[in-house]
Amino acid sequence: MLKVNNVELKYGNFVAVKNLSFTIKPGEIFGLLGTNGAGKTTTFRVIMGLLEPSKGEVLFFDDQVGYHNVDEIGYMIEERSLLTKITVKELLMYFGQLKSMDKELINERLDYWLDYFNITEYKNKLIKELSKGNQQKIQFISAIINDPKLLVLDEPFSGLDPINTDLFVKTIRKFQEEGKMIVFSSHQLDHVESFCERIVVLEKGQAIIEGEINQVKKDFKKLTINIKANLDLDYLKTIPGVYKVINNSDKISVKIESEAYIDGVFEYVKSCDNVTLFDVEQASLSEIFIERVGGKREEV
Amino acid sequence: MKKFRFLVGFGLKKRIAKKSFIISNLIIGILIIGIINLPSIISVFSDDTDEVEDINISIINQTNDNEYPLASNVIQTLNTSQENYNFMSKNSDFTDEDEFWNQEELDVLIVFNGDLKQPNVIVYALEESHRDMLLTPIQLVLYDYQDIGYANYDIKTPPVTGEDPGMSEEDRAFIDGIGSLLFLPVFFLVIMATQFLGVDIIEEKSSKAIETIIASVPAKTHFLSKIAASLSFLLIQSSVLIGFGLLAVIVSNVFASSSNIEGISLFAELANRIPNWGGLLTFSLLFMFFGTLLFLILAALLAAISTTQEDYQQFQAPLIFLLLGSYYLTIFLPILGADGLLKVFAYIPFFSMMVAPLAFVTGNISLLGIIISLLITIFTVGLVLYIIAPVYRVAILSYDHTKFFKRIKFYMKKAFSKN
Repeated sequence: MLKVNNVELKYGNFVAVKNLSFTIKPGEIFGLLGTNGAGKTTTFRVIMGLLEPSKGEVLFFDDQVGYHNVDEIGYMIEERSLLTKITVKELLMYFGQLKSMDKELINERLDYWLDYFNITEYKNKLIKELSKGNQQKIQFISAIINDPKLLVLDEPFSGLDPINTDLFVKTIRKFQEEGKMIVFSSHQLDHVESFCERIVVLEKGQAIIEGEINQVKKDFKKLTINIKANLDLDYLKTIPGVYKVINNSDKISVKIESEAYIDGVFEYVKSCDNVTLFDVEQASLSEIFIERVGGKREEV
Repeated sequence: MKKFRFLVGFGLKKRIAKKSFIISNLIIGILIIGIINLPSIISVFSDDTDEVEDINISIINQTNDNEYPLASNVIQTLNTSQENYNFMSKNSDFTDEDEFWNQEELDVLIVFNGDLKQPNVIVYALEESHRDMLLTPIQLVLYDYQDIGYANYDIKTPPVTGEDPGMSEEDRAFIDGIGSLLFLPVFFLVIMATQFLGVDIIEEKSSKAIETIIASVPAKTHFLSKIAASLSFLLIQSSVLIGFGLLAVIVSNVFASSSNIEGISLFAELANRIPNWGGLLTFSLLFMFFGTLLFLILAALLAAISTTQEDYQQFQAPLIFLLLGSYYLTIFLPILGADGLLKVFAYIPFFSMMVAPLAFVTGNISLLGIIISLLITIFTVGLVLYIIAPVYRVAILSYDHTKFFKRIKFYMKKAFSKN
């Protein structure tokens, strides 16, 4: 279990992370979200013991995170962090031995993962000769080569095509099934929504949303009603609780403040012709994120 | 400790198990052997074109038999026995010794007095190399006169002034020149080691691989392993160069035994010219070790502060100037006769790496002096390590792009603040 307890990190007077707390249980995938500069990478560095918190603590199975237990953690940083002038084998031997692994074991696991990601033929190629996608795979292998109990992934899907993204998702799911803890950040909120049970959204180093995704959505209250019918859009906008109407090509999306306003919209739609769709759905994580973080979607 | 050893081994292997290292060393080896044996090689392929040196000689016969043609006999015998010299008789009328030593027209003056059957022979020669070759021909002439008894030889040497009585001008020049001879390879090796260290760290930092590495090993271990790897590389490279030097001497002596060319007896030559060459070698190695360590610690810090290769090249310039300055001091201070400055710089860390052994061998500082200088260097290494290790820890994971001094100030503050 990983426990982040009231962690605060200051750079002089600047507070990079403020009173952050969360817990990750074995077999759980945890999402750490936020805009650029919100404090995600700093939080990962604190988890990895690279930065010492000004306050609070990080416990890994009830023990302080440090170099005595860091071999049980896998870490993949946001940007590609590979030594490009050496071969794939040399690099993974290097990173593996830094995790106190024997050469034979590294070689065995390296062969397995290269085969898993269909890149066996690159084993003795220089890193710089690999495509960006394949470099990303090598970086991912470097994070999992030690079979970690905790996997920290900072933007693991960055720069990947849909096929390789799917492969990464499957691998992360595999790790989850094996009971490992996974904490990751991503700007692709659909992925977060699809396999995270719990999230923390950071803004300026502070958690502004936290908890289980379903609960976060419930707490958000705002709903979307998708309608297919002959409607008067101007009238629709005047119904109490409706704050936005979007005319899509195939349907009309009506945003309402809470479920208390569903009946009002429904009463009007009932009176219209050719009604083929009336579907109420919770706000997506993306909507919640944009709404709460301040409409900076393009930065995300 | 296991990770430290692994990091040192990895860094070392990266430098040594490379074609470029092997090829460059082979080329250097061939050059060293070739240059040291160049005179022998040239003489093998050239005709006997040794130039004949003219020597102006005056022989004064003040013996009981001043009718005997002593001067002409000695000159004739000298010209017969010494092929590379042309002895020419010249008159002289010196009133005292100093007059001879202060002139340049006459190279050799020989005065015979007493009984010619067993005369006193006083030899004055400006060049040391001329003194020894005179005695055998003189003795041959005396045998011709009467085949009994030996002459009493008194070989005069020029009066010596200054602090090093007994040391010839030639030896003094040899020792003064040792700066450029002995410290040139040291200079290049330290430059090479600091370059390798910096490039190694900055390669890991600029590629962001450093974050993965520091997530596995403490920054302090990384810092010390980089220094240890560079120092080990330096020791290996030095050993290779020394090995090539010894090989060159062996080759030279093989040349000598198979021809009439004079071989190189390096250690005998050093022992002859430098009275305390063993001490010089020992202290040079100790100063090279600790001095290099000092430069490497600073190079590691500069690399950690840098974010790109360009940054490092810019930041390391003062370090290179410092090293270049030390090297120039070893060349120019002896030439300028600035013994006072030599003494001062011998105690200043960074400069002392090269200056202190030179000051010791030239007699400017004593054995106690050089030990004190070494202790100052070791203390400085400890102090610099104590200050820089925490700063390295902060700087290595930072990608600050502010100006150099602002960066340093920020890292220092962060490294020693208690949050």
